[in-house]
Formats: sequence, C-alpha cells, structure tokens
Amino acid sequence: MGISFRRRALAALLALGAVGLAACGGGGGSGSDSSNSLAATGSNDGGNSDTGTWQAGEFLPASTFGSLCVSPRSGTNPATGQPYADVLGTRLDENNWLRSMSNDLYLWYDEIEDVDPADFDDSIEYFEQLKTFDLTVSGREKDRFHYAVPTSEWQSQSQSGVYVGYGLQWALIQATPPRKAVVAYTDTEDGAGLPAGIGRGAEVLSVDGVRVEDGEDIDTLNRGMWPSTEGESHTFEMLPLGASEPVTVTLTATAVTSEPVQHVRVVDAAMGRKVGYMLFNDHIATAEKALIEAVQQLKAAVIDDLVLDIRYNGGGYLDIASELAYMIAGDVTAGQIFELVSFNNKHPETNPVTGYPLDPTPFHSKTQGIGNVQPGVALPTLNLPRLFVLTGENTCSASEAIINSLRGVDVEVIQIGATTCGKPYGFYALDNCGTTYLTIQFRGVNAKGFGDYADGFVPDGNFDTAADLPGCAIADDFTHLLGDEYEARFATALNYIETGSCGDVPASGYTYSQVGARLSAANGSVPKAPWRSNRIMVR
Amino acid sequence: MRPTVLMQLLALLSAVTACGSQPAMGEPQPALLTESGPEVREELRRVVSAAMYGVEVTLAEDALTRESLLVVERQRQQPRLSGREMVPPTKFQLVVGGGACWLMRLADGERWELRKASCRPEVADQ
Repeated sequence: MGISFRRRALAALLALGAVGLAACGGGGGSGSDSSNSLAATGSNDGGNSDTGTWQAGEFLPASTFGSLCVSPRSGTNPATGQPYADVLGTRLDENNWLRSMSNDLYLWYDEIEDVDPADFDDSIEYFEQLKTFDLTVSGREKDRFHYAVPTSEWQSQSQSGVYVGYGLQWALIQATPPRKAVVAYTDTEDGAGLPAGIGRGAEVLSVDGVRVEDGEDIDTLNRGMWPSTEGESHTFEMLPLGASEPVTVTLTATAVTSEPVQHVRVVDAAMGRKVGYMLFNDHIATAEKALIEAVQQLKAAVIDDLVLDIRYNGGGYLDIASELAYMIAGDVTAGQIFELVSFNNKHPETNPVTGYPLDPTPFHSKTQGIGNVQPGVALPTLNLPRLFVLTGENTCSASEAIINSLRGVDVEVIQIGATTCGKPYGFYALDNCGTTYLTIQFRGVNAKGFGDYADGFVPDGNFDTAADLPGCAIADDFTHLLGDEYEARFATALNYIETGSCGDVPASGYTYSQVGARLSAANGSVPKAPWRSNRIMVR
Repeated sequence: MRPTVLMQLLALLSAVTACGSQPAMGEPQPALLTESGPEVREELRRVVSAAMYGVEVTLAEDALTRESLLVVERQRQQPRLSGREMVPPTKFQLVVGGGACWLMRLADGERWELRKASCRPEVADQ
C-alpha cells in the first residue's frame, strides 16, 4: 500500500510539475509517456550509486539507479517540463536500472536469465538480454516487441496524421534480393499530389539509379523510399499497375496529411443485401471524427454487413478502437469490457507505472475527444451481429483488440486475409539517460478473459485455440485498388456473405508483404548505427 | 514518507495558482490563419515546439487554415514500435483576441502570441 501510494503521488507530482510550469508561461507538457515512476527519487547527488556487486536474484528498486547516467542530459525534460534529473553515473548504473526495471515491470520477468550487468559495456546490448527467449506455439519469438530508441526521436511529435513523405506507403513483397516493392496504398483517397499511375500496385524498379531488385547500395534505396526531410527529391523508375512500360518520376517529400479512413462505400450484394466497406489504416487522433462520419454514412445506407479493412492498421489509440467496436456492435456491448489489461503477478491490482487501479476499458458509447470532436457525445452504431475483417501481418495491437473485444461479447468475426501480427501486449515507454526502452509490460484480454493470440488471429486456422477464426486465408491483391469489389480479399468477403464459403479466389494467387519495413542487403544485414538497426525490420 | 509527499503536492499546487498571469485579451474566438507562408508556418512550428519543451514537431503546410484546432501526437513509428497508445494527444486552438492571434493549449488555457500571423474568426466560414 505504501509503495502504491508513493507511486501515485509521484505520478501526480510529475503531472502537476508540468502544469505548474505551464501556468508560469514556460510552455506545457507534451503528454509524452516517457516520464515514469522508476526515475531517481531525487536523492542522487552524482557518482556511482555504490550498491555493491551483483548477486543473482537480488534486486534493488529501479529508482536506486534511475537518472544516473554516463552522459547526463541538461535542460528541460519535455516529458515533465522540469529540468532533467540526470546526474553523472556509470554504465553499471544504467545497466542496473534496466535490470531492476525489467524485474519489476517486464511481463515475463521470471523468464529473464539474470546475468551480471557488469559484463556489458553497452546498455542497449544488455537490454536485449532482458527479455524472454521462449517461443510461441507456432515457433515464433514470444517477445518480438523489445526495442530501444533515442528518447529525442521517441518524443518527436507531429500534427495528427502528418508525416514527411510522398503520400504513399510501400509494401515490401521481398526485402532481400531479389527484392520487390510496390505501393500498398496512398495516404489520401485520391492520391493527391502523386503523378498519374503512382498508386496501389505500382512497382518500384529503381531509386536514384539503384535497382531495387538487386542493387547493392541499399542506403540509397532506403533513403529514397523513406525520406526524412521536407524538400528531398528522389527519382523513381516505376511500373504503374497494368502498364507494360515503366515511367520515371521525381517525388519530393513534403509534410503529408494522411487520411486514416478511406473508401467508405456500400456494395449491393446478392439477395438485396447491402454491404458496407471502409479502409481504416491508423488509430490516430484524426481517425475519431473520420470513423464517426463513416459509420453515420453506412448507418444511413442501412447496411446488413460491414467489411472493415484493417490489413495495414498497426494500432494506436486504444480508445478509438473501443469507440469503433461499439459503433459496429452497439447495444450488445452495453456494460461490457472492451479490454482489461493485466501486468505481471507483482502488480495484480494496480498499474505499476501510473499507480491507478487496473480498471477495464469499456466499450465507449460516447466520444472520448481524442481528435477534433467534443467528448461525451453519443456515438452512432450499426448494431451488427457480425463483422468481416480484412487482415494481414500489419494488422496489429489496437486493431487486433477490435477483433478480440467483439469476440468477447459474442459478435461473430469472420477474418479474410492473412494472420495478424499477434500483439496482445502493450507498454509504457520508459526513458532513462536519453534512451527510451520499449519493453512489454501488460497483456490485454477481452470480456471472456481471452488474450492468448501471440501468434496472431488466424483465418480458418487450425491451431485449435480461440485465435482460430472462421474465414479465408487470402494473400494481398496488389492488382486491384483497395475498396474495389474485385480485390481478392474484399471479393472473398462478398462471396462469403453471399454463399457462406470462401469461393474460388486462389489463396496463393497474390502476395504477402510487409508495410513499414526496410530493404536490406542479400545477407539480411542493414548497415546502420546500432540504435537505428532497432528500427529496421528485415525479412 | 506520506506527509512529505503531501507537503510537496501542496507546495506545487500553490505554485500553480500563484503564477500564470497573462495579458487580458477579452473573449477569445476560435480563428483560422488567413495565410500560411513559410514565415508563419515556421513561427507556428517554433511556438508549438516551445510549448512542448523543445521536442521536434512536424506540421502540415495548411495547419490552422481549415480548422482552428491543432491536434499534436507522437510521430508515427514503425508498426512494431507502436500499438496500444494510452496517452492522449495535445490539443491547441488558434484564437483571436485583443487584436492578435494566439495559440492556446486547451488543457490549461496557456497561450502564445503568433506575431507573424494574421487571423480571422473561424465562425466566418460557417
């Protein structure tokens, strides 16, 4: 109880500190989640914490070592609005903080092999050991979400939906030679600002003169495909969808505003059924209003079924996922749990980071005011008893929570596409000494207590678990636009609605891909600085 | 421990209420930028960054020209670095009052004058 009170009080102090400074005219809190209650308690006065030698299984509180840094930062911490608490420490201090923090918060802390932190002169290398190396039932790594990033990068902000790029997202069908990359989707429904033909399905043949298929200069490829600064221009040789001759285009990076909800439409299916479709790509703040408008449009059309295309939706605000789940299912969700998070068994009742009780997230029947909408306004609902979801490997986290939560209240979910990413987990990002550590701390379960989908939700799966969903395994059809009723996944959903079966769309007739990944060399290596390689995904 | 923490809380609370005076500007009205050239946009970016203690901020070229609300959130990460976002975004609103354009943070009403911008009331569009 004492510890719980101390953490809650500390969290409150951090929050009030930001408010206090703001009221004095110094600016405001960023809302960053990088502040944490594991930081130094304020008693650090520099130097090594002098806590003796390592003993396996013996842990001091993380706060003993928090903010004792090899390279202390100075100035104002954007996460708190207060001066950095950093003072001079040692590599061992930073490692000890990681060790104690992981032992306290990591979801699978009891699967970490406790090795001597003094053996590591690189804290990120040590952090990489502070995880489970167990495998899932399918043989994948149980924890594929263990990352460290520079705090300044993690804290960087943008206007909701705005990023520096060309206004399109690439899909890597093959990231190593022979590489193949196509446009997965455009950030706006009409592809505004892009040259003619540069839309979904257009294949990239070369970037700034380097061949995508087998070029050795992968830095040029990656820099060109994922520009980092506004005004950057790169030359692409591309083969538009359906074209026989490539075209050469120059793309210039700008601050692009993406539309998270696109192609909202209604299709007339057999027996007079009206089928609604929407592409939902990002749980960002602007999605809240867009989803409400989409549901209002579909509600006005009195649809019988909804096909929700979340194949590229990697997650985001859980509250928006809850709102959408309510808007789909409606009355059946009343008083039900959308998701309940649970931490490791050291924290059965209290969120160890915020100090608040572990109350479940309900299905939100009113706006939460995440984006440009007033909070507390009743949401529209379709009151559908079943949902068709189009999924892929990029369907992750908050998107998977939509599927899981609806199944938790007995809404039938039929899955068309590929297995989802399998992330029933979450974390509060924790900063120490300028590095933000992303380590899994909690698991989300639905109203039935189910959350074991680390291998993803599997369409027509045969793992004999509750993560097997009825539906059809269909690869991504880059030969058709999204929302096109002839696109393989959408077409299969329509066929399922009309006949109750998958039909004759060949499951392997199309391709599997990754969105958000990077190209790599033949050996899979990516020549980047260590912290950057944490951001690079290779196949 | 407990009394000490409570005293710290009280001290901070009193600090919050003791400061925060800003020039009066009458009843502020939601506003839109009348134009968004490079200078205006750069000032806006600088002000938002300063309001968030210096973090890098990316804004759209047409920020605050179509709606008075500016929602700022953590920059999009690679899919496996993101997931369940629990922390709400920061919201600002462009307001006009006292003959000047102000960027106001909605959470606490703190505001910053945009000296290079010109504004018009948002209601003019409705």
